[in-house]
Amino acid sequence: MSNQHRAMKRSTGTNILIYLLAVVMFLIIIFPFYWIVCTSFKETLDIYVVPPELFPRHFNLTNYLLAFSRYGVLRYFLNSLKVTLTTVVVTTFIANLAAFAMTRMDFVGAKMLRKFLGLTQMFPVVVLLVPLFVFCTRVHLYNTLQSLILPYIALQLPVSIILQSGYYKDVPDALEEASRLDGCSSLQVLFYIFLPLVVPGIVATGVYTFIQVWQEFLIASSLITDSSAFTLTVGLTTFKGDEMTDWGALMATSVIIAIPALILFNLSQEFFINRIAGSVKE
Amino acid sequence: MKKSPAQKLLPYLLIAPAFIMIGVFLLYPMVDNLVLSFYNYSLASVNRPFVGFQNYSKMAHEARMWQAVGRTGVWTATNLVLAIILGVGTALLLFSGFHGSGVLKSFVLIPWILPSVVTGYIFSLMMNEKAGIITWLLRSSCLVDQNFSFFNNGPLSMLAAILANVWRAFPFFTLMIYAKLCTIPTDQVEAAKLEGANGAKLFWYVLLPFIREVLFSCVFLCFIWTFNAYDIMKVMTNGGPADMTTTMSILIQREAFSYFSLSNASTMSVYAFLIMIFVICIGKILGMCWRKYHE
Repeated sequence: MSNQHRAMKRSTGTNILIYLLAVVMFLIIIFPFYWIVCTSFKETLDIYVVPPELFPRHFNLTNYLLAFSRYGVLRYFLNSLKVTLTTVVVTTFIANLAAFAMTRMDFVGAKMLRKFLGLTQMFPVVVLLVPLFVFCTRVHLYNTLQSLILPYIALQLPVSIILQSGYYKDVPDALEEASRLDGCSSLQVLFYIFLPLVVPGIVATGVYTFIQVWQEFLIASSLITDSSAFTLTVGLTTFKGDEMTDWGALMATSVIIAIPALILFNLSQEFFINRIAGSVKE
Repeated sequence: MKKSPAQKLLPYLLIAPAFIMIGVFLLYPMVDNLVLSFYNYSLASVNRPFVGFQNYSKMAHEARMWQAVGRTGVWTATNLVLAIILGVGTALLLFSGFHGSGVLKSFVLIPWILPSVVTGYIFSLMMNEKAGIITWLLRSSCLVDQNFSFFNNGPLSMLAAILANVWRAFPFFTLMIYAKLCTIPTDQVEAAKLEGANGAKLFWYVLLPFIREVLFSCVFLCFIWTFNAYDIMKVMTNGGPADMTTTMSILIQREAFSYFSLSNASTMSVYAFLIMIFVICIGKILGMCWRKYHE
């Protein structure tokens, strides 16, 4: 049923109410985001003006420059980028091997492992903190980026395998059988037949992993105490002091944190809306 | 066709890297945490004597833990209820179909994409005592007095953090429920309408049973996320004022990394985990009752 049909059937009053609610919802969703961007362009004194001004008087980039010069955001950004990209690449690669084996090969215990992957979603990160801390101090990984990358990979793998399995299941059996008849080995089937076909899945799963790891805070703020190894989310907490908070620079950095995630999300929005929600329909 | 030993081994080789990583950095820490909770482990002392269930009985008598459990309960329940109402409401709004619903649909996931730390900070700013636009709106509409502040009393600080978290969590419900609603057979809705059902009745007798299972899984996932949530609370209130918003996650993290009482932290995290599993079991039973009642 098209929108017009539904809209025609309703009374004008209901339609007005629906539009009113839609506008309110839209403002609720978009306003906090707008306010971050708006504040990041304001001068420090303008942030405290009462009543708050809905637009910055002039777009000045002081806050952005301060974020880089005074707060060393560039280093945090590079740290975050290193951690996130390594995690995404390693997770996606390992997850693909596992997803292929678990959907396309029969072996003892496959069913149990699938169940186990679902169960891992109930593991709270808080439970991992103390053992990870003890482990990292013991093997001298404390305060290094590796101490983040390793648990991140382990934490992201289950979801990554589950999402990726969906794509492997969708590949028609006939393709695999044909290539087997042509004499391909299992590994050749994986690399020449399957991998090219599941590229959309790899991109989408990669983006999902990126967004999750990019914003991780609990582990990063617990295991990293040395500011040279801070990631962006941990670095952000240094802007807020007990006495004074540099809201302008904080919001400028927030924009810097938000942009990569938003761009990636925008590029793969189809996946998020259709694929993740699509899993509901089955 | 018989498989050679190499072929039989191959699937295990392919899954090995994944499950070794999960085993070493997820499963082993879980077990290690349990082990630690039976020792008296503190960075301050060299000795690590085995103490059995002593940590558990000690923690069970600590008021601050049970207070934190209570606050986690309030935090999780309020968050879930608000996120369900707002999420399902927005899904129904999108489903009602209007010009421009596509725009709303493409923006609805923004809160979910925005890093949670950033969400915490922007809501801190909007609710700030001096510069907050929400505080200003409340004051100038005379709903509250001129000295009103979110962050100098416990319940209001909790409310502030809850609002931020609901803003972040509700789009997940909206997306999942809306996707399910889109698959409802039109004849079902039409038939119900012919019989005179509309509005609340249509929702209660036709739409709600249809989305029930999806709603259950969303509530399940959202419960786990909210129960263990840390970022927003840490950034907005840091457990304050006077520990009035210290939830289990905040308490455990502080115990481990500010006071370095690792055994206490381990023990409390085991308690938190058990409580979470207990609530999930109750939830499953309630869900089963609801299914029976509707049939």
